[in-house]
Amino acid sequence: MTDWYPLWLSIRVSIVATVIASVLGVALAYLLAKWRSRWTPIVEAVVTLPIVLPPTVLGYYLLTLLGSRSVLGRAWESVFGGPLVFTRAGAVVAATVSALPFVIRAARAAISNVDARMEETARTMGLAEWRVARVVTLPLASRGIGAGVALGFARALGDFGATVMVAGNIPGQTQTLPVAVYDAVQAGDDAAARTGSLVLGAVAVVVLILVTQVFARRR
Amino acid sequence: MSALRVDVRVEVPGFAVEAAFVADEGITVLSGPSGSGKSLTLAAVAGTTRPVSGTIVLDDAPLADAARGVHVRTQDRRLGVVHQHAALLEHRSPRDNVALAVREGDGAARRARALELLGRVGAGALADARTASLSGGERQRVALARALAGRPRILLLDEPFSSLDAPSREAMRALVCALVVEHRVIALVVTHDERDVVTLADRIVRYEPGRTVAADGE
Repeated sequence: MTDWYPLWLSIRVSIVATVIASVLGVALAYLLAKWRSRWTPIVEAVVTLPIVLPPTVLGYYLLTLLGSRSVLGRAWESVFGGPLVFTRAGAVVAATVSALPFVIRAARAAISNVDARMEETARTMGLAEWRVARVVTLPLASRGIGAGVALGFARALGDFGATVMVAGNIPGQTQTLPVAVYDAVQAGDDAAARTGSLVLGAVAVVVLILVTQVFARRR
Repeated sequence: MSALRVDVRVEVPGFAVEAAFVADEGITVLSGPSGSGKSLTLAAVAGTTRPVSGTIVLDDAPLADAARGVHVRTQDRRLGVVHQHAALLEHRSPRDNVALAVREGDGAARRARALELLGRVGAGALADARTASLSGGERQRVALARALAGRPRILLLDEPFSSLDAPSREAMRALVCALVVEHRVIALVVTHDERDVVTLADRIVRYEPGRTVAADGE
């Protein structure tokens, strides 16, 4: 009988991670697009790092940063009463950090591409900056942002390396679907490996169709 | 004295304009060849560009004073702007586009005021149309209603008729003339069409590349 827990966990973790990455990512992208300074290239490099780094190395950094002996790790424990690493919350952190650069890069490009005259006209209408962003900039950039969020979701769902490092591989607790596929192959359980791979492959195809056909289409 | 006094130098990479003129209530046409700095002057009045030197004074209060570092935010200048291409929000109805610019009242009052203004520009029937489906002339009417929604003191029209066919251009000229009088605004109209100059202008400011040459009617 197939164990559906890893799929169920993966979906929950990816949805929460995508929501967090979208809010954080769009806010950061907006700041990067609007406030150019000599620090922007550095911030951009840092937030893009998760795309370039080997996921295990990214996971190692997160483990060091959030482990029980780190400042952040201890702060988490004092608030929530337990460690962050090797829990489902750890899996959410790993997936969020993996998804974040996809949201930021797509949103930043989309926000920069919004016709500045539209925003200027909104200012002449007396709209404060946050209303210009809410009424003009973000709606006009929504397709690009949507594409980034979809890619981020796919990335969060598919993460293996960072998740294994930060959340571990505890069946029934932190074992997400990509990790379960690895385990199944190691254990010679071909049926489970095949089912997991087909599900992840299908989701990836749907996301890519969404990105190229729905979000990328010109108005 | 109640008027708009402009005496500025504005620079963008590769181009600079020196503009000096006074505009009273009524229509002041900024006329000259394209690329002479008319639109850049409007940008300085709108506050989307900062002059490198000089002052812009509205009814004796400075909007911009480069030497003293004064720069009133675009939001606080009580402007209405109509561009050549109306720059309407396609994802909002014409009524919403206008209502967003109404500054006083609650949501319902803003929407009622928007409908009233759309009616005044002859676009009342379009209030809830799909914005993307409007014709060029209809878009300019909605843009004009939107520009008046904030009860502006200054109305800036940048080539407002150049994308229209001849009949809608005539109609729009008449509409602008009437509305400027009704709303008692100081209107600056940028154009390189001599017909606009003849039919609209209470005053004319002539441009040659990079500067204003003479302000008639002074």
